[in-house]
Amino acid sequence: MSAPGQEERKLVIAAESLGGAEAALAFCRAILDWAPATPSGLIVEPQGVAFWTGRDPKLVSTRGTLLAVPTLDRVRRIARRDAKELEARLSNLAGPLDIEWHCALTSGELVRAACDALSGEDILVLGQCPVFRGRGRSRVLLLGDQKGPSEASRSLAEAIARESHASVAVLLAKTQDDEDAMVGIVERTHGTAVVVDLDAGPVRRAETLRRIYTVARCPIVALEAARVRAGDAPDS
Amino acid sequence: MNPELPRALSVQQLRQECDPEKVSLRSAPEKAEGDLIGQERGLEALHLAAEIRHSDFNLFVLGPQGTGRHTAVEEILRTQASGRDSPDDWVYVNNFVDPHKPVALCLPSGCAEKLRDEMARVVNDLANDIPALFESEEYQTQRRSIDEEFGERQEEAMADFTGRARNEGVALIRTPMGFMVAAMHDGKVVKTEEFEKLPEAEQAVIEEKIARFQTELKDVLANAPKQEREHRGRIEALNAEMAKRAVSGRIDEAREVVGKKGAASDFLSWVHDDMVENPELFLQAAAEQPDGPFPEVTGKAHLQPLFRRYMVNVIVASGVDAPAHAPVIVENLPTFDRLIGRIEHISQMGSLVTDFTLIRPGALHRANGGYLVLDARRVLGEPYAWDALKRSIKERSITITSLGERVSLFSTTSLEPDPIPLDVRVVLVGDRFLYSLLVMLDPDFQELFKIQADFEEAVDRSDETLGRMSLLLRHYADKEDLLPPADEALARLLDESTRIAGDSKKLSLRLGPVTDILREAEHYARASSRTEVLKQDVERTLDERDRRASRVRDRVREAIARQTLMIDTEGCKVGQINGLSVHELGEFRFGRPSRITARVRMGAGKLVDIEREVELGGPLHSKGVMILAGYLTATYALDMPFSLHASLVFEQSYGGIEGDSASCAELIALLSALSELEIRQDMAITGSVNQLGQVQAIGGVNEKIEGYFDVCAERGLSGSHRVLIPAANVDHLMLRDRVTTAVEAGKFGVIPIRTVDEGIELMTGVPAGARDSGGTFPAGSVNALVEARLREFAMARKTFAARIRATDGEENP
Repeated sequence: MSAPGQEERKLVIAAESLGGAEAALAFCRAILDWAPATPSGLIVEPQGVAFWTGRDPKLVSTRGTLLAVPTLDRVRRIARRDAKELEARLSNLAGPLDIEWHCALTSGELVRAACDALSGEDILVLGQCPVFRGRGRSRVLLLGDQKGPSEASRSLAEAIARESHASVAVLLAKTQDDEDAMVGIVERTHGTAVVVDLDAGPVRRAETLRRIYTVARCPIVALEAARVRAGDAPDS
Repeated sequence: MNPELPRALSVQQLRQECDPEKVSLRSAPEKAEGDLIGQERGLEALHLAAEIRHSDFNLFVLGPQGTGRHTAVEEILRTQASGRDSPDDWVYVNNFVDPHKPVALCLPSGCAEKLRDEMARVVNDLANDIPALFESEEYQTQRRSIDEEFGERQEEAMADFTGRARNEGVALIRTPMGFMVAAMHDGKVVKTEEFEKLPEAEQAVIEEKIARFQTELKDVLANAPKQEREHRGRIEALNAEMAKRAVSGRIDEAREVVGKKGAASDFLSWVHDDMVENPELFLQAAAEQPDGPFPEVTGKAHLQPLFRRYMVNVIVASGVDAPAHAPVIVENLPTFDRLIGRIEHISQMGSLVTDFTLIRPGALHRANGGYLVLDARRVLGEPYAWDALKRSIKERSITITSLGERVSLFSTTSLEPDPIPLDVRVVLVGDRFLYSLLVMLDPDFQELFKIQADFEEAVDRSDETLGRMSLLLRHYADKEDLLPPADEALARLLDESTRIAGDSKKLSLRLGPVTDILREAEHYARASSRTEVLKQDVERTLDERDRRASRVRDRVREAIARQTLMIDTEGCKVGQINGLSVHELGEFRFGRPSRITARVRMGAGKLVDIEREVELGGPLHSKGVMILAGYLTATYALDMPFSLHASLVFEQSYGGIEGDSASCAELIALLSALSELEIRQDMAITGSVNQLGQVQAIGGVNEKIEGYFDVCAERGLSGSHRVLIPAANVDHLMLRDRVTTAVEAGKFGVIPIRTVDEGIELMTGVPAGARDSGGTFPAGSVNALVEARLREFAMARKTFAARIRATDGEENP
């Protein structure tokens, strides 16, 4: 059950797999404590795009082994199963807080599908498993433009850092249009999560968000991500 | 009457009376060692066992209860122990390599508790120091530096790879299953159908790039675990270095306290290494530290289960309070566990677990280097205790095992602690019967217990022993805070001690019964507001004790008085005699007369013991009756077949009869039946007889005389009442005052006899008669009449046999 007056805000946890969603769920309790919202799970199954990856198509696992590329059917079956499992996880998360929750399965590109599900002050968490397991005291990366990160994103990053026994590392863009440099920094910095405020920058566009998501190799927590949907139609 | 017949004994022969003057303090001797009198043999053995240093010279102290064995053993052992050094301390500590095999450390005397306390302080200090060190800026900076180095190194490798791939027109696409390496053409990822349309040369280039980058990516990602291991190693090295700074200093301080060499120092080295290897224990403890209302608890980190591994379990210690000499341990409950120690378990999450801190010492541990005193009967009565004791003595080491596991009662985690070397002198205290059984049945016993200390039950009654015993009783009264006994009371007590010894020439060394009387007498004296215990208090005690225990005796007497139990105490009867028997109920014994009758007729030489026929007679009684047959056949009518059929019976005896003390009475009854001479019923007789007709000593003579006396006294003493006793029992007489008073007044008598002839003569009033040179008994004598009767039976039997033969001849010509 939602608290009165807060029905509008959702916490959208979007991922392509249960593993990714679980990495995002690790921060959700802190986010919900920071801003009450209705948890909403979203598993995005990939579109059937057949990229050429060799005569004998292979995937490279995160532990460095070569795997056969699964069929699209199998990928979709796994996505559906993951969506069901995510329902159970959300139920466990929401139960003790006595709040409502939702879960859905959709297809398409992750960032676009996730942004489509947002409105108003919804918070978006793009989940993915970290490629490298962090040892020791890890960091939450907080992105900001030359003026610094927004107060909201800073306090959210600190809440997440407290929950995950991490510290907050602020990465600032030198100029307003310094997206490439920012992406490069994020790519070379190890973090347990990346916090961005799309209203404050430096990430303001869906494409930038997608690039950050790709290079970060960890969950992305995005504030004001609904504006991407409203004002800046994501590119394909 | 034969003038050489024995006469009744004088009062002085019936009872010894101690002269109070001999027990007064004025004539008291010097105090003897250990307050023990007449136990020189036992004491010498005790001294030998206490002093000899060779192993296996363990001691078995045997003797009756109440002779002061325990007190003497303890006193002598404590004296000997006080001259020996304190033994080493023993502790159990954790085996950091193999925790289920705790290590036993031998420490110099007095060091165990020091080490234990110091280890608690070390843990408490380090529980603060190590977390503080790990929270320090210095550590955090180094740690962050390592973390960042490795984190960045992996990310950099991945970013470099991605950059190179991008530069060569290869895209890295992440999927839920893994990374996909795909070709790019004109900034877009190439789809399969597009690839097929590309020129073959371009396809080949793309194929080569895809394969190369797949391999490269594989290597980059596969390097991650190696990087993680290296990272972990660096962190552990950093942790160890930081921990070492704190631990080394503190352990060095601890060495100052417990010594820089030896087992304690070695143990501190093990602790040092383990703490350096496992600093996370201290961090974990700090994280779990409760923020409660009792902050002082936070200073006692050593109480936390995490740090039990560093604790010291003191098994044996010579602390400040302990005496600085060899121990003397008396274990009154020598169970298996209490003897060799035990391993306790605690319940944790529903299962039983244990560790070295739950090892508990046994009596052998505590007595190690000294003496252990055990009650033999109790050790033998406890399951597995005797075996464990023998094994420990034999192997000269104490191995703690779980009895539960040994008998497969339960299966749980257990320990195999190091055995502890054993150097102890074991002293078992038991009785003679137990000693005999052990000698006979346990082949190890004499190997392991080479010395026996045999304690006497009685000592000769002399002026010296009377004086020493009186002194002992005075000391006892003083020690027990009793009113002091007067000289007369002591004299009376010592007379009672002689009565307990059952010998007028002895004093009983069983002090228990005598001190019981003294304490009860003291109670009566105190109740009468006296300041000392008087003779009358002792006598009252004896009367009261007698009365309390005498219900059965009184019922028997009542039955005799009412002729329910038929006993004649006057007149004369043929073949009927008053025998005497003793009944025993615990410490209380009483005598009573029993009618014994004999009947005879011609027969085939069979003497029927009716008691044996009905299985009421014990083997000794049956033996006594068979001896009678031997006496008869060897004494009378030697030239003729023994043609007697006789039966003997204890009239109105419905319980078992044991012992041969009535055999003399039975023989006289038999001779009376054969001679048809009457036996005086105002007399009773006790004594056993051998085949030569000699009367032998018996037990319980005082009680038997008193038993007959009481029956006679109740009916009225005529002055003719007598009891015949074996002359060998005269030394055992210690009769009660009521009897001696009657004897003094000429109303009762006790006559010692040496032979059956004396007995039959006294009881029939007819001379027994001895064979003359011609081999015949004097006419009219008892023996002549007996022999004549036996000849008569023989002739009758011969006539009977001839008649039978004649009858048989007529029937079978």
